[in-house]
Amino acid sequence: MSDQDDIPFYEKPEWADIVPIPQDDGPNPLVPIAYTKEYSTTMDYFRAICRTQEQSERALDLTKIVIELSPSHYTVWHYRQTLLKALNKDLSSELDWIQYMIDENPKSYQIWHHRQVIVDHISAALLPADVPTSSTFSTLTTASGGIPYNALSEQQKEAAREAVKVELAFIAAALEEDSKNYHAWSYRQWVLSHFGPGPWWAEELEYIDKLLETDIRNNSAWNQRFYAFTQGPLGLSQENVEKEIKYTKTKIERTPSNESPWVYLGGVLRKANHPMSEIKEFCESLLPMPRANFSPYLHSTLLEIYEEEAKARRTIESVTKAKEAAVMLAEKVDPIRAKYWNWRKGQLNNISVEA
Amino acid sequence: MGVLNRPGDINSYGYNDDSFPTESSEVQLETEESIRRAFFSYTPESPRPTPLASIELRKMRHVKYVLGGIDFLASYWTSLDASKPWLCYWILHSLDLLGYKIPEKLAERAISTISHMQCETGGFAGGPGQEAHLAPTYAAVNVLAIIGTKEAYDVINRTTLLEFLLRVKQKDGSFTMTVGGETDVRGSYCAMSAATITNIMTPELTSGAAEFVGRCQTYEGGLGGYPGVEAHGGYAFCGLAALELLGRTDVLDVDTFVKWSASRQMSLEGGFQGRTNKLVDGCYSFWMGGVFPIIGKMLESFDADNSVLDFVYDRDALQEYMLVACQSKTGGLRDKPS
Repeated sequence: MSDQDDIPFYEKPEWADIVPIPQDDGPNPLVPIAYTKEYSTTMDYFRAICRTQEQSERALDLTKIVIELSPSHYTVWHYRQTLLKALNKDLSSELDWIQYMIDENPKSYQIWHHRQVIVDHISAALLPADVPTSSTFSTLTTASGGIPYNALSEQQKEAAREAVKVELAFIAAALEEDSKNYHAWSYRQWVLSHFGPGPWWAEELEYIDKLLETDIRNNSAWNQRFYAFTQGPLGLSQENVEKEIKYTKTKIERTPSNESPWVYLGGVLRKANHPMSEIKEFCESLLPMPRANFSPYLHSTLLEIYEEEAKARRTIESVTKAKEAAVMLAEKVDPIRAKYWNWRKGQLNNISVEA
Repeated sequence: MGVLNRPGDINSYGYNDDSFPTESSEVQLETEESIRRAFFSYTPESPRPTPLASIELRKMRHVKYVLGGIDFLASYWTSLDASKPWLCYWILHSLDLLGYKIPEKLAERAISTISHMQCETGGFAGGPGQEAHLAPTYAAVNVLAIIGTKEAYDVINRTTLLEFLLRVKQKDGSFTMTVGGETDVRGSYCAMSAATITNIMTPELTSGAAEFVGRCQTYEGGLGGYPGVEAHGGYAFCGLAALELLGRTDVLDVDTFVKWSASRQMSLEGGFQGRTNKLVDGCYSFWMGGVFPIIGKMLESFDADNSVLDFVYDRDALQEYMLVACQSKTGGLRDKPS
């Protein structure tokens, strides 16, 4: 990807006109880095080009050289983005290069953001002609709220589906390497939302299912499931809520000490305004099972159920039952969180009990 | 209460994989084994237990380690060439916390170094000649605040700093990290911290900022980097701290936030994980540990009669993790035993 010649670029005649600018750290600076000569000279030339914001092919080539020496150098990424646009470069080959860079640096903010900027710009072709464009890539379609998928022509929809397919595959490859890569998941959410209410939302549930089959404890996948239902066109209808409750219960039954499905279940019920008591029978049925009865999450869910009941009934009996659940957690089942569970127990005193 | 002097065999604590192993549970159990090895000599099961009272923060070793970074960083540190204010901040903040008085000469050099990273159009950059970015701005402003002299504070051009902060402020209340850069809740915290320290919190700067952070709260109760993204300790701290500086912790669902935070402490290791079903990491001692003083203040303000005298997590267990498992013999702290 970088220049294969033996001669560094700065010794070539096409760069002879540049007066390199040395780094000015001031006298006796802290934290001086022992740069290689190649790096410091490259940066001296970069500073000169960047100062004038030269818009040229050689500037574009230089940004690639700098990036490969210092991938987290955010200034050079920004400059590259303005050059790609000014020089009207073919962005599909840029996407290939980003693939290579992501493989090398899967956790770089700059590279993931660069992908988003490029795809955002490419997707602008799908926008209606009267939408204004901006001079910096990144605000291009965000300002307009993304792609209005349903308003597109059949041909445009096909293009959108193809673009989404490529991006989701790109992200899936990164997740193959690290199924919880935070940047990958953030970018995945951006792709799904940006291209609008297309068929990829329903397909995302299948993708999440696969990941959960591989690792039922992948909390990023669980989070994505919640995202898929609440941020896109799927929605938490009564039917979907019931399906999700059923789905999550089977996961809980398989791994009762797995925090993820428990928290997901509580999240779905709360979002859909269902009472926690809806799963009381399910939880109490797990209590006698040796493989489940020490799950801190079973007990904390029961505490929530009993607390909800106590607030509704306001009897000494119901408050006592909730307090006992808190004590069970603090003393036996989840002692690392004793302070927290004791605080929860104290909160139950706020329930004003009928005499 | 801690882990080391808890009743019962240390082998009985830890993750239950429900006899259904997956990658998450496998790496968790491996990590627990290495922490058990680190803890073993302090437990009653050890043939000659080392007294818990002997556990201490080896300050002088850490001071030496930190001082070692001031005058020379080998070429592999080039990967942090866009984070020089951070390097200064980590060094000076650590020295300050370790009780090492920062000599005047060092302070002068820090002031000069940082001033060479201030941008003409406002804010600070990762290095001389780079563009302004919220993260090095946070680090630079805080370095100057640690030094705390008039000379240090005078370095900051507050007028252009505000201009920079407004330049990266978005209509939805968020901040991009740099012009044309990515948006996430780190930006909110870096901007609020720099603006608070320099007293440039204007209504234009803060409008919508709290609401954006509020939208980052997930069903788990914690905060993600951006609305919808998974709750994560680093972003939880940034978001909560930003809200505290804004005086707007009211945008959060407190109950679920507190529950999520308390749930991040690991039952065997004592340290914190950053996300559900991930591993303990010493850095979350700061990101998650730092959340509890703020939570404590939030809970007190709701409940005058039931004031929280201590934070709602196990402080002894966290100390044990850091001091027993995370101190390097040659100075410095680490994520976890290797």
